[in-house]
Amino acid sequence: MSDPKTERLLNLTMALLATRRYLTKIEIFQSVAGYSGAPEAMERMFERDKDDLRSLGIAIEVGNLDNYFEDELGYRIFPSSYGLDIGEITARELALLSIAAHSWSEGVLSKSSQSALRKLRSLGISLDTEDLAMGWARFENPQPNFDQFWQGLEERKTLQFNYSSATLAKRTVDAYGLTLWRGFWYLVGFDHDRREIRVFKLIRVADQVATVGKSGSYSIPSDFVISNYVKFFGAEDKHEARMLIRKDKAQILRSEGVVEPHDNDWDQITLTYEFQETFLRKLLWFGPDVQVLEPPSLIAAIVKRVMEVLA
Amino acid sequence: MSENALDRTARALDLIPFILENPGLTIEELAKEFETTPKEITKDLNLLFVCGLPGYTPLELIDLSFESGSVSVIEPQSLDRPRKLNRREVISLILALEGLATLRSDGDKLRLEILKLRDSLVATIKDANLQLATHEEFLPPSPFLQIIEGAISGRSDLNIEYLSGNRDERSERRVTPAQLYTENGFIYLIGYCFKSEADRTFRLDRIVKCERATELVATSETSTSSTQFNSDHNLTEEPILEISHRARNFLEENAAVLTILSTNPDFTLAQIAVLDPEWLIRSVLGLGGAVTVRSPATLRSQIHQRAQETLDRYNSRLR
Repeated sequence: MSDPKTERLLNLTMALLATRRYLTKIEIFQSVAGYSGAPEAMERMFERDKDDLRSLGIAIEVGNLDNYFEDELGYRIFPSSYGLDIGEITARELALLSIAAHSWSEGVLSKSSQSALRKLRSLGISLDTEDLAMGWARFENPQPNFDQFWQGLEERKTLQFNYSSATLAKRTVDAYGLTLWRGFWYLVGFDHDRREIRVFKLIRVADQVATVGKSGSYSIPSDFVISNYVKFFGAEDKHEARMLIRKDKAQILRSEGVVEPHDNDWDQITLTYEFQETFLRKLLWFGPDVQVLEPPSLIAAIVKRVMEVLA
Repeated sequence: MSENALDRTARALDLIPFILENPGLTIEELAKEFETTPKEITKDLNLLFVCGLPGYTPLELIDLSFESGSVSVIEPQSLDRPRKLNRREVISLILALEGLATLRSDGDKLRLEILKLRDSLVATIKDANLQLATHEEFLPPSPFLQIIEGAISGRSDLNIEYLSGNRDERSERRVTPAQLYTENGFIYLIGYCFKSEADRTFRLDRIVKCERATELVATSETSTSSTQFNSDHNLTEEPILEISHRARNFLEENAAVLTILSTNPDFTLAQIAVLDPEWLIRSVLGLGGAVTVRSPATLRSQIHQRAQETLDRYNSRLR
C-alpha cells in the first residue's frame, strides 16, 4: 500500500461514523488502523487528520465522554451531519438538477456541480427526464482565475490583482459578489484605493490574483445587492431614430419596428435605442442599405465613423 | 504522487454510496462518472478493499465484487450514505438553476418549478448572505424556447424562419435541434440545417417563426443558395486585424476565434479565424477606425468600398 494517509483517513472516518458514543484518542490510536509510532507522533497525526477531514466538510464533534471525568474528551461524526439531506426530492427535481449540473462545461463550477450530481445520484432516486420537455443548455464558463475570486469572497480575504482599464493598475478589492451578466463574469467589490464599490470585468484581470490579510478581514454590508451595481450599465435614456431601409434588406431591423413603404426602392422605419455605440454598430452592419434621416447627431456619428474607415 | 491524498479520500468516500445505488458499472464507466482515469479508480477500489471498521476482520471490512468487469458493493460498512453537499456544490447548482430560469419567460410553469427548487437549495446554505448570483437580466427570454426544448427532448425537427445577419436575408429552414448554449449574452441553438446540409448555429432572437415539423423530411430539399458562402468572398488566408484599445469589447467577445500576435499600449495585433468574410466586413464597418484590417488587401478594399457606398448615401442627400 503506497497510500497510508488516504487509508488512515478512510478508516478514521468510518470508525467515527460507526461509533454510537464518543471515542477517546487512546481508543482511536489503539483501534483505528494506521496509527503507530510514539504517542506525540500519533497526536500530531491525529490533529492533521482532523483538520484534513474538516477541510472536506466532514464535521468531527468533540464531546465529553463521561459525566464524571469532564476532562476526558471524545470524538465522533454524527451520521446526520455527515449524510446528504436535502429533504424530499422527487425524480423530476433530480432530473432538473441533472440538467442544471450540465450547464457548466468546464472549470470549477462544472467540477462542483458534477460532484453534487454524483452525490444526489447516490440517493437511490431514479432519474425522470421523460416528461421534462427541457433542452440542455450551456452557460459561459468563468475564467480560470474565477476560483481565486470565489475563494476570496467565501473567506472574506482582501484580493489584489492587476486590472486593465484605461491603464493597467494594481487594485486592492474586498469581493462582495460575483455575477454572470450578458455573457461575461463580473466582480463587484470595495476598491481600497478609490474608496467605493466598483465593478470589474474578470476577463480584464491581467494575471494571477493574490490574497492579502487574514480570513474575515472585512464584512459585506447587509444592504448590498449585486444587481444594483451591474444594472448601472443599462441606465440610459431611450432615443428615437427615423431611417430609410432598402427594400428586402436590413431584415433584422425590420422585425423591430413598423415598416412603411417610402418609394420603389426604399421603406421607412422608426426605431428606439438606448446606447448610441451599440446602435451605430447595428446600423452600420447594413452599410449602404440603411440611411438615417433623424436625428442629425446620429447622422453625424455615422458619417464620422465611416470617414474613419476610409482614412 | 499522482494525486492529492485529500482528493482521493473524498472520491473514495463518494464511490461507495454511488456504486451501491448504481451497481454493475465497469471501471471505465466509473472513471467517466468521476472525471478521472480507470487507473485512479482501480487504485481507489483497491484502497477501499482494505479499509473497514476497528477489528478489521473480513466481517468488518468493506466488501466489493468485481464480477466480469463490473463493480458492486457487497458490504459498505458505515459508508452507505452519500456525503452532504458542500457550499461550492450547492452554489454551482443554484447558479445553474438561476441560469435555466432566466432563459424562460415569466408565465412558464417550468420556470416556477426551477425557482422553487433553487429556493430549497438556498435554504440549505447556512450563511444566507449569498452573493454569487446570476443577474435576472442576464439573458432576454425567447418566445420559442418551449417549442425548441420540446423538439430537442422529443427528437423532432423544427421549421424555422431565420434572419441571417451575414447574408442579410430571411430564410426558411428545417433544423434538427441539438443543444442550446449562451455566448456574449445571447442564446444560440445548434443543430443540423437541411438547407446548408451541415450543423449551424442560430441566434434565438433572430428566429422569427418556429414550429414543430410534422411532415416527413423531403429528401431532395434543395435551395437556390445552397452554397453557404459566396465564392468570390472566399478567404485564402486568415485576416490580420489591428484592434485598438477602444474596441476591446470586440476583442473580448471574439476571444475564441482570435489569436493574439502582439500587444502594445495602442493596439493589439491578432489573427482571426472567420468562416464568413461578410461577417468581418460588416463588423469592421460598424467599429469605425477602432479595428482595421492589415491583410489581406482584397478584404481591405471590400471594406473601403462598403464604407464609400455608405458615405455616398449621405453625400447625395446633402447635394
